[in-house]
Amino acid sequence: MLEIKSVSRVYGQGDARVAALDRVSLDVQPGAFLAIMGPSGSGKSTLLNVMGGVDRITGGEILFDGVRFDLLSEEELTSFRRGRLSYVFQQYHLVPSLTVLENVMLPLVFVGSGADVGRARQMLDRVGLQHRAHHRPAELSGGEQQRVAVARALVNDPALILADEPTGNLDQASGQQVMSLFMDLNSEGRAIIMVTHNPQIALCAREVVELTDGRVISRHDVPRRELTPLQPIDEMPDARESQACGDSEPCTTQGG
Amino acid sequence: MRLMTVVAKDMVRRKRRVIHSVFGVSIGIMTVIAMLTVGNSGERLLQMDLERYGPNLTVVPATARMDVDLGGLNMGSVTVGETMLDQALLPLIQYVADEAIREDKGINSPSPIAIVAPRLYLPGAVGDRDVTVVGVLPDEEEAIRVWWNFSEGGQLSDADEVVAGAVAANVLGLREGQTLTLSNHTYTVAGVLSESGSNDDYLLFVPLATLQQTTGKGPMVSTVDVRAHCTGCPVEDIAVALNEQLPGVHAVAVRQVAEAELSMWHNIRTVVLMLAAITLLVGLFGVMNSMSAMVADRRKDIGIMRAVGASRRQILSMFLQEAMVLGLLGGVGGYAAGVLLATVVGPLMREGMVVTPVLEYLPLAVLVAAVVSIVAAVHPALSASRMRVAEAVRTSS
Repeated sequence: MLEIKSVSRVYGQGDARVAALDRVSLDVQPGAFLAIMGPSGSGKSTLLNVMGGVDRITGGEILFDGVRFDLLSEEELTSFRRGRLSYVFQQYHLVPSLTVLENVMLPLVFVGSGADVGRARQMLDRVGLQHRAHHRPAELSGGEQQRVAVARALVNDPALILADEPTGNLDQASGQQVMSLFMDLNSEGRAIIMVTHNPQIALCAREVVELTDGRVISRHDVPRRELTPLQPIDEMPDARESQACGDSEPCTTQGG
Repeated sequence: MRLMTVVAKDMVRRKRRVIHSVFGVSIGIMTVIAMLTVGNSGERLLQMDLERYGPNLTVVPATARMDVDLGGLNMGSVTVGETMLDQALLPLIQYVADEAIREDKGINSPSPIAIVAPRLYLPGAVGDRDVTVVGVLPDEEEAIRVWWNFSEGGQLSDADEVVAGAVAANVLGLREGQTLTLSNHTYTVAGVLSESGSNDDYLLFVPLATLQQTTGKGPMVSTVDVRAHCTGCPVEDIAVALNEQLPGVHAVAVRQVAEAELSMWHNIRTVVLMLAAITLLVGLFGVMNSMSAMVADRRKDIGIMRAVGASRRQILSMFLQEAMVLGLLGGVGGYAAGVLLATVVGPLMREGMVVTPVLEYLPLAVLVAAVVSIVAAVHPALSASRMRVAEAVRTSS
């Protein structure tokens, strides 16, 4: 669904030139769950942003469903993204003046058809926050805010969810809740690309892509044996879909 | 939920900023509205004065007056020619004046427009006191001298009645219902005028026809006052038309003190309006400033909205909608404050001024305020819409 061909993103000019992405190529299939890892400044977030069309590339090509994403105008890009991909940010980025329900509705407002409350309520229900519908974001815990952000990301029924350190600001329990939500969504067939620096969180994904200095240095599947080592594999044929991440220990043997 | 709802919610949340902006617009609008309102009330006051001061036009016989000068010693003036006007001229004066007004105002109706009031001045005596007696047509006289007030009795209603000016009544000891004899004719006092400070205070008024008959003057009058009963009537044009078309008459447009004051008033108003416009301009920069600050404040929110699917145009339109609301609030607020200011300032500018709000200025105020706000918002709104999403929502921010 998403093809990234030799993409570069260069900031600044002359001596101040910094290549955040250096001829990165990546192929994302429908239903994939990628964790992008790497040290600070390795270009993780930039990669996510260019994949989401909110940052422009300086070289290469990006194809989304066969369309040259990088060639679209700003307005075309905006309408192209609608219903195809959504964002989840580390800092939730809810609009503080709107209620939880209104925040979830927000993407529908911009589609222009007039927002559908029913759909938004459904999504809130999905993340278990129906009872918080009329609260302000500031009245919610970090984990709850992030679940609202996930509900908002889902309201347009996107095929791809981009998440930038979605658990970065959350305590372990909240992080697990969010990750188990992500795994549910992935098992429904939604593709997820998630930037994280937390190896335990990365283990919730199906694949891990490692970035250093703006280059992809490895891409490998997450070995299943690391998922739920405390339980025999034969008791849990697909541990990832059995919400192992939602248990006390997220996706790993080593413990929190 | 619609885009406007999002805008409204956001404005409610940033009350202080919004109030600040509204205040900025209001100040400018207030100044303009205050000036316009004071100007309007002042003009009405002056127009009332204009009416009080007298007719617009006086027609007198075309006498040639020559000043006689002997070795630098003024010997007075000599009058040559007619000193009276034939009463037959009245319909002609009426016709010429009406035509001039019709032409100027584009009126087709054949009914008379101007009021034509003749007066015949004659010397007379009551007992051993010399008086000036004036023959008038009561209805026309009343129509033209709208400021006439009677301290006793009322207007002439009978051929043998007399109305006395305030001073004349006092000197002659006249009261309503008394009789007096003039040129061997007995009149009953129908009324006494209140003091007006004009020549009328010293005169005795009797019906024109009675005066003409009892003095054997025939159908003659001394002066004819013409009042064009409309605002902005072409008084000068009427005078020119009368002078050109009617031989033997001399029409003078009465240039009133009030009229001069009115034009001065207009000049002052122009200057003050310019000042108000400058205030409005300053207000514009204030709004621009607070709009820019608001955009800076909301970088993140704008980034979020762009990230969840808002187009640039939608961001732009959100800001313009907000500007519109600011304008509406500022316009209404500025209008109210302006009227209030006018009621305070008006009486200071001209004594006795009663300031009445002009409701027609309200849409004007709202319109100007909305335009000012939108103009102020365009640049900040554009820069908001061009904001880079990735930077606005950057994790480190």
